[in-house]
Amino acid sequence: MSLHLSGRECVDAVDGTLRGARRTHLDACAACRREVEALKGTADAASATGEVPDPSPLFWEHFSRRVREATDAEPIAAPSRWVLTWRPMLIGAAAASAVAVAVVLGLQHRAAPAGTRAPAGAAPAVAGEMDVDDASMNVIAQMAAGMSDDELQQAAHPGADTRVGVLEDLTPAQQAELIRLIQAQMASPE
Amino acid sequence: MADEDGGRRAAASRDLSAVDDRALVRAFVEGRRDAFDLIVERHRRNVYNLCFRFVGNHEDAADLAQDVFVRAFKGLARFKGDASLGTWLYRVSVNVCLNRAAMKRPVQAPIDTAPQHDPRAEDPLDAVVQRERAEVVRRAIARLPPKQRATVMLRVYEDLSHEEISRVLGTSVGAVKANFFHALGNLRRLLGSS
Repeated sequence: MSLHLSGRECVDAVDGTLRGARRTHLDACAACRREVEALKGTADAASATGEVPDPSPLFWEHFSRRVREATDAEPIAAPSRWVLTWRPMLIGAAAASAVAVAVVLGLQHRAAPAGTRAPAGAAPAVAGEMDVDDASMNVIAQMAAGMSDDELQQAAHPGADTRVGVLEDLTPAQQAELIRLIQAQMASPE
Repeated sequence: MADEDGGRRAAASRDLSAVDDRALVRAFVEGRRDAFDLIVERHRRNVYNLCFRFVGNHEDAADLAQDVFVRAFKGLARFKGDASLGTWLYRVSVNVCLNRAAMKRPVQAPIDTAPQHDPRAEDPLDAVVQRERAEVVRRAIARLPPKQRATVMLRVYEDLSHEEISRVLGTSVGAVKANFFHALGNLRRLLGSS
């Protein structure tokens, strides 16, 4: 007899998503079935009583007016300084870095002697497997992993207003500050 | 004068009414207040319903929902778009409701805001029993620890997936499932003893 289902597996069973050996265990174990059925019964009982009475039809307009009045005196907060100043630059930096990495890898690939190439069938090298010692390159790679689809698109096809060569324009001190800001931003919750 | 203002607002909102939430947020951050009116219009029912389930009465739910949108107004510039706007608003709602719950005991629903009896029901007694049962369940949920309570609300009533709940609560999917398991176990005990 295998171990009884864990709490998480019981939840999967309630959801009907438990599969494989654990599902087989559930089918064979009366104690686990009782537990799952009791949980499901409780969830159903809660679900059956959760109806929210509809407020008056006039309520929604009144509510929107209340929110408008409560926010009328509030200024619209500007996006953080980080978003305004560094994020567009980082998009350019990511694009520039991607191009640079591709060029370096291409050159290495061409320069490598035939005997040092990976054997047939070996997995091709991907960016995530690169042995990069430079901390700033790690930061750029992590940043790119956290970028949205739109931003990656923009990085891959930078528009006329995107400054790809932005890193070259920065002094060493500015580059260090950029790295520090990226690390701080990635460490902070949304 | 008020009509003119209303007309201008309606005309401006028409331009935005077809755009998605992400574009609305962008318009708002660029200074268009009418974009926020549309955000409220789109999400007010979900936010209100969640607040109602936390407090169980219309007046407090309306106050809490208003508070949610005021906080959203102040914080929307920090919204990064990693999750959907709806998920982000759920997160603000849960925080507002749990903060409120920490300060105040849940209020009993006044009898006139309870669902009205449907004369077509087979037995009038059923409606009464159903209403009493709902109140017992609501009180039991209100006694759960905050994260378990939020998990039950989002999973059972808002029908969010475990992944979505993990984004709302800022925890892992595994932690959401564990919370849900413990919440249902606690609910079962509370309901069994009531």
